[in-house]
Amino acid sequence: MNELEFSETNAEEMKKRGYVLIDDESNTVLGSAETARKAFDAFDLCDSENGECKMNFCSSRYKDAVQLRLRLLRTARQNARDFDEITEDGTIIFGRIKVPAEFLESFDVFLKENELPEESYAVDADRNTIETACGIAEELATIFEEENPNFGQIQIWIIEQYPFTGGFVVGSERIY
Amino acid sequence: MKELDTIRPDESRSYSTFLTDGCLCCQKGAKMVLFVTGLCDRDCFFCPLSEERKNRDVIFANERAVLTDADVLEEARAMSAEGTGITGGEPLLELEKVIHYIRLLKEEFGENHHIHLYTSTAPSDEYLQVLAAAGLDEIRFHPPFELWDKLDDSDFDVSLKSA
Repeated sequence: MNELEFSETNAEEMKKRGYVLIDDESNTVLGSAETARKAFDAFDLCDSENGECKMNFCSSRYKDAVQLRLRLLRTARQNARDFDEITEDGTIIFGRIKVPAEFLESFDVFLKENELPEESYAVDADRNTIETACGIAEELATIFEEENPNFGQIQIWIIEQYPFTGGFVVGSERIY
Repeated sequence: MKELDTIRPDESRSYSTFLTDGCLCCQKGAKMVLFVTGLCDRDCFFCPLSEERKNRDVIFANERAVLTDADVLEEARAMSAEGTGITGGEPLLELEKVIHYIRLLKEEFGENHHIHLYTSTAPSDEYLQVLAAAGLDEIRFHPPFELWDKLDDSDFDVSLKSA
């Protein structure tokens, strides 16, 4: 048994039938878990050892907190780059620097001059971005505030996303 | 009557008297979700599928849009999948596709790669034989709401017994 959930596409039909949310923060339908509980009780909690009645109720929170989170963590552990920070939710956090194409090379030289080890950042020449550890991005933002070196219209962002290339972006904040 | 603590509540308010191998694999975060088609001949009011999937003939491996077999295998490798759950839409509208993916995944990751399938149809014995022969490990029937009171007389009863 799965817990009944609201989504963008079923909300209207669900409301029409009188279903309501358990609270504002989840997409869980009020009463679904209780109904499942009654089904367990109706079968007298069934003797699972004798295999007569096997039941499982999978909650909405389980799907997010266990199924999705553990899958993301598993993926993150395997795919995260040296500089990615893996969160408890299985997302990764890193810094992204957008550098105008004509400055990409000189910016790379600038990083090397500042003795940034090669494994601590990655240059994407197609998208004119450099990705690096969150802490390094923050440090660079501070340097830029103070020294304002000329690399054109540079932008520094902190990104949190699902742990694979092109993964869903959970949050982003521009810090320079 | 058994005591309540014999069932296994967890922090997410899920509980069970029994978990299938498919569920155990998912519990480790090791199940890939293979969405083989958004097409379905039912119109359940509670269907939560997003606009980009509902009633569209699209394929996704987890959140990754699938154009080729390589996309499926890459996604499975990226998460070190130990199993796959095939869902939709109604997967069995695309039986050949389902068979193809079961074989692909078993060939690539071995017999132990656990595959389960969801369906709201009552497949014939012949369909079930074909699925089993391809290597399907587990099948989950979701009979439509209007049949819940009379499952014993429905095709689902036959499918359940032969499965």
